[in-house]
Amino acid sequence: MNLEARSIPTVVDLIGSLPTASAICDPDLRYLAVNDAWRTSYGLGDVDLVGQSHLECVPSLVELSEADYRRALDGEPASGSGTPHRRADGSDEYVDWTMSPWHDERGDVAGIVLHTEIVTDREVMRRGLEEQRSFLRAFVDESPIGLNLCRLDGVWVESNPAFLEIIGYSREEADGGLSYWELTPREYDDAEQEQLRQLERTGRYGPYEKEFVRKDGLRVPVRLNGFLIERDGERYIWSLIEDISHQRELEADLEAERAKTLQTARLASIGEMAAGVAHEINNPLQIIEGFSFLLKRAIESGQQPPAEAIDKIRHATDRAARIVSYMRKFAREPSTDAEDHSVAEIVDETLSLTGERIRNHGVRLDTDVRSNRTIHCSALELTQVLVNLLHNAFDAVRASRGSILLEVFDDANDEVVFSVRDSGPGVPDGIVDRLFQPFVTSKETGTGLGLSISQGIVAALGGSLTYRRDDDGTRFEARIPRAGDA
Amino acid sequence: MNRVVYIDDESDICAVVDATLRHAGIRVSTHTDPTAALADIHGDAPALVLCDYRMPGMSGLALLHRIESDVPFALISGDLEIHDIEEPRVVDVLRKPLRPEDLITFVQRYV
Repeated sequence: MNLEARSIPTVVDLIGSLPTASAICDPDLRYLAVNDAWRTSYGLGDVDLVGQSHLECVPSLVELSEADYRRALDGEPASGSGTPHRRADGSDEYVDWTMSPWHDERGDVAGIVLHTEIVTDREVMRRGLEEQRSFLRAFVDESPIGLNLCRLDGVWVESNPAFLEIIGYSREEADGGLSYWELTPREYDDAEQEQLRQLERTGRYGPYEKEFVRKDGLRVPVRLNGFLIERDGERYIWSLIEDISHQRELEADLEAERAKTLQTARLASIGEMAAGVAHEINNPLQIIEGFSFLLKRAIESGQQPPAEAIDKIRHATDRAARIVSYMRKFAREPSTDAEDHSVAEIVDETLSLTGERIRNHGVRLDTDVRSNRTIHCSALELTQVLVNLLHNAFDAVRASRGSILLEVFDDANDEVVFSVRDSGPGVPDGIVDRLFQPFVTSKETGTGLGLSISQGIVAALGGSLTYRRDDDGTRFEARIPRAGDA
Repeated sequence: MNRVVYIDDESDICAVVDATLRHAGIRVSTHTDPTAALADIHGDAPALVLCDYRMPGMSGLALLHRIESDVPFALISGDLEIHDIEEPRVVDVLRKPLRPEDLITFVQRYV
């Protein structure tokens, strides 16, 4: 009995006891022995497999190439994990395998020992997780919104391409190297602290708008949202970063458009005012001219001059002079520079421009100033608002010789209220909803700009201009909040 | 028939026009209220209507549109310029301040 005859049954016994599917092959990859698990795993039945070709019996271990077997036969062990294996019935399995050379008594490689274990359940799960992970990865990588994970000290751990695009750094430069704080301009410090407090309190922060300093030094406006997460026992901040440059540009465009419209309206309003001022000056000039003529002729003909003529002339001169003084102020204050003005000053200025005209027409104009506040505004502009409201009221009550009440008081919300009330018929129903839009008017010689300009002026002071009609008559109210105060 | 109706919302202007034209021997009625003026014009047709352009309540043109006869109608305006008056019934546009002598000359063409 030679050594081989003794040793083989021993080896067969040995592999028979292994839980893995095992086979021993000669250098030509023909089976010398296989265990039951091997037969079962590869559906090889009860036939005698000794001397059969392994490659023919199990061709389905497709990813094991001849080179793998060659290496083992050259004396180098090999192994693999999760290798696909298609069964005879067409179903897919996955196996872990090892392949080691075995040596004869001379020490030469006499073949290989194969162990395989079917790991389909584990592999299917692993592949599923892998797929899910790569799906999430793609989700992160392809997200148009910047995503970033950073430590609580602000050092960046992971950034997606969209975020890297926003800040202009490469992944290598950003992750693990840069910190949130290095890219945050100092003027945001207070706001940042507030966001951090919110994060501590609620686990979330934002929406928060700020800027990052890009690698090229330019600032980029962004909107951030984020929340705290825990990973491997450490806390991180997960942030969503949107580049809002485009939105800001749109806002800037809209603002420019609005400013342009306002400017156009202002110019139109100046034109309207100039026409009004010309009318206001030419009327007293007409009076002066007329009474001078009467005086001259009375003197030339030796008659008693009309007694009131000189008074009328002087009165008209005063009136023209006041208009000129207003124009001079307008010229001196061409912009809308704000200064502190008392409510009384604004009202006086307004009345000097319109009061007389209104009262001359038999319209009763009462004023009741109960506020002694100071308003930080352009007197010219605020006066323009009140003159406009009084003119509208005057136009409404002129025919009926009605009454107008100008009141100024502080309301419960600490706002200064300029209220102009008249006994007129009110704004026609058809235009109430559009009252403050430009070019909407119910007056034949109106431009429809007065109220829209007035509303713009009041809004610029943080206030509001409203209209309502009640039992007391028609009422326009300009409310200026304390924020507009000095 | 050789009467002039003058409308201006300023009573002082009405007073001075009244005195000026009367002194020149021209019959004149002045009104500060456009509605009263309309009633006057329709009641006793004048030779000429002179009317301020910019008046509260009713503009000079609006007043003209309510006049049912084809009485000669002139606008007087203190505005810088009046554009786009395409109203054939307006015989002329006079500018304030208007010299009383010129006013008399103008009115005499119609009375």
